[in-house]
Amino acid sequence: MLYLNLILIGISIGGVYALLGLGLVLIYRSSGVLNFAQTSMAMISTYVFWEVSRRAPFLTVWGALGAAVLFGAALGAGLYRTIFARLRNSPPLARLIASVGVAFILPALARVIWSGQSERGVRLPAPFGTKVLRLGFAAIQSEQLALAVVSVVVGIGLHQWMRRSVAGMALRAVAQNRQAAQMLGVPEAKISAIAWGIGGGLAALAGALYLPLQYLDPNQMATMLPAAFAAALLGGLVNIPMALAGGLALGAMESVFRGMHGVFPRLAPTIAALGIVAFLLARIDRFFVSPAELKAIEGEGAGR
Amino acid sequence: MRIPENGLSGEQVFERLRDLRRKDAETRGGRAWGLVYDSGLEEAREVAERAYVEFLGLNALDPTAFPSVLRLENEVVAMAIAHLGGGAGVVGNFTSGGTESCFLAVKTARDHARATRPEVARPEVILPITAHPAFHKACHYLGLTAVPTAVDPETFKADAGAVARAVSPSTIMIVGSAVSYAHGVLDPIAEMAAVARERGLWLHVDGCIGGFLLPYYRRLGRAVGDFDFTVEGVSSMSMDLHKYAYAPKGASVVLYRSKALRKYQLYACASWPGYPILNTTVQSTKPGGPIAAAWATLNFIGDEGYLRLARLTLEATERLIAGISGIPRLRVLGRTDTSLIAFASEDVNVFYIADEMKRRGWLIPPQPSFGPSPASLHLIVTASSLPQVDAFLADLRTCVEAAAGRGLRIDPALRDTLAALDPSSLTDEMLSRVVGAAGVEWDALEDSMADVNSILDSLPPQVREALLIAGGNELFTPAK
Ligand SMILES: Cc1ncc(COP(=O)(O)O)c(C=O)c1O
Repeated sequence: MLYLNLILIGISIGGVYALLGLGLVLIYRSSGVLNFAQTSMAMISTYVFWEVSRRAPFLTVWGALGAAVLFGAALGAGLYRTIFARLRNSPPLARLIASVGVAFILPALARVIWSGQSERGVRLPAPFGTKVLRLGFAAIQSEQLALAVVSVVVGIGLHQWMRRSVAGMALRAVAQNRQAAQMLGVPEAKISAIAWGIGGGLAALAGALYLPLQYLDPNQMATMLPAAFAAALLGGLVNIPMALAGGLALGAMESVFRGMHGVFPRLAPTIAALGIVAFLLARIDRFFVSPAELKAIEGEGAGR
Repeated sequence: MRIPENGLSGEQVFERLRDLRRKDAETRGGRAWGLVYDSGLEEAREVAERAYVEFLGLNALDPTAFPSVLRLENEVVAMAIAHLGGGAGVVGNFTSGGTESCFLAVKTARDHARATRPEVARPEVILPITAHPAFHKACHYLGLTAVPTAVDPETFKADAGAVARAVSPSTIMIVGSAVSYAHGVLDPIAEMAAVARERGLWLHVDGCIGGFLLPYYRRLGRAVGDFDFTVEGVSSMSMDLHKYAYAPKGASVVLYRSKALRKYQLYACASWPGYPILNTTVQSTKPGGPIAAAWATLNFIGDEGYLRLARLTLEATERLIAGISGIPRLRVLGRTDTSLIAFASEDVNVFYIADEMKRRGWLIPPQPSFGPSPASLHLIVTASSLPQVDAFLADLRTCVEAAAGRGLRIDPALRDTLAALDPSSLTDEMLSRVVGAAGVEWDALEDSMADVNSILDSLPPQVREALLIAGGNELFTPAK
């Protein structure tokens, strides 16, 4: 029973990995950026969630959540427009380093703006509450359950959107063959900005739903980056259902490790990193992307 | 363990008690730099003890049955009000300690806000990060949200600008310290009061540890900013008597600007078949001993006596600051406004200094790093410290050298595991496993705390808290 419960709790954390991983996939697919700032974007959007929830109580916690998601989306789109669009034709390494830079700048910014709060951390209101629900075999907090459910719903919705909507198809077109898409008049910059916006919104959602279970400070979420990457990598950085499943499974696995005896609890934080290495060695991407597609995503400087 | 079938003799009882005391820290003689407050006045202690014993059995629950205790409380509170610049209209109560005083101030502010600002759904209390945990605890118990604000990274005084910026429509209260425990510094109370006045908020000034001493320091010629009821906008204050008034433990007061505010502190219940209850404070049955002992101490030592004790304290503090600053590798944090000294080191693990000093019979409580404040050692200087200063400084110098280069190498994997703990979803079982995996043996803590302190220091505060709770849960296991 303990393990069933651990798996259930793990899936909720896995939901966070999945939401972050989905954002990574969208961003990578549209602009070829491995976004190391994904968790920092989640963290700083959650500060916005907190500020809106307390300074505009009439909006309720849902209004604050909406505001945070909008902020995350604007942040994502803004980062793309100001930084990554300009690096569209730079080598992938340049884009990578730029994203690492942003990943450091955002926490520093949060530390300046919210000094004081950033030291003790902030306790946040939980949109779905922290009531303990008993589901026959297991107990879980309503917010944790919501995280798992929301991530699945968002993942499925995103998958459908990519397949059916015009924008989604355009995004796939850009990813598959940039030149051809351009020639067909697909507004690449706009599509990428949308993808970054969605990625930022998902990061905000992850932060604002998860951090009420923890606390908020500028270092938060950073340790989740490997797991988010592992989830995204499981989908070869492009496949949405696999990234979703990967995130959920990784969360469950970690949680089970934490609850076991011996060295396992200490290994738990390394599972994600091990997963990344294993996926890379297994060249998992080749199951999802053709060499031509990869070249399209990464740009001319890909050097592969 | 059961109640002994046949009672022990009085002699056996005391033998057992004395036996248990052997590992305890000294409470007198100035070798303990925390937890105890020693005036050094033998006679004052005897007077307090006698008063305590004489009022031991009295119950302040019913002031009509024991009017003496009511009178003592009202006299003690009156002296406290006069000491803190309170004019006509200021009222207060005697409580069991600083935590209860602070707790009641927060509860009173909350209930006042409920009555006057019912639209606030999630009330917030602004706490500069140096505010005492009693306020976080009160917020936790009372369902309020604590909003921490920054302090100046050099002086460690609350930043009034940060307080003003943190005010939201949900804010009901601001807390300032006079003085803060960790660094002994006085917050800019007048500026914080201006914010409180402008935004219509409750300002509590926590004078638990500094409130009694500050007026004497001012009379000794030290520059002391305004901090008490003379500052318009201060709604309530707390001041412990079991600290620098040297009363036996269990003695503090909480004061309010007016009865109209204090009203929200009181609690009455007549909805049961027993006696109608009126409680002024948290306790209901309330022992007479602490009130009588505090009253006796105040009256016995007297104003001139306290001024003399303050002079001794001030001199010891200044000599310690000079001495510590003169020891290579040590640095005093901030500039204390009273008699609390925090000092840190750039390159020596202070937790090992504390352990070394303990071996030489000095009790120095360590403080983990937090925000702009590095890990440090904390001295509560009292009137009985002065004769110990030179011996202390000499030992400190040796211990800094002895501790240099020592330190626990914390397994990074373990630290990451600990840091990644989700405090809310951890079961007790998992926590105790983690604590075990860290190699912490709770039984061995009496001898060496340096390793445990180093681990705690490396973790975020919320995880420190989860581990402390797990540890505390183990420590308090019924005796076999
Ligand atoms: C500033 C301050 N406030 C409150 C308290 C809490 O007092 P007590 O330990 O008596 O509950 C202390 C104790 O040191 C303190 O220093």
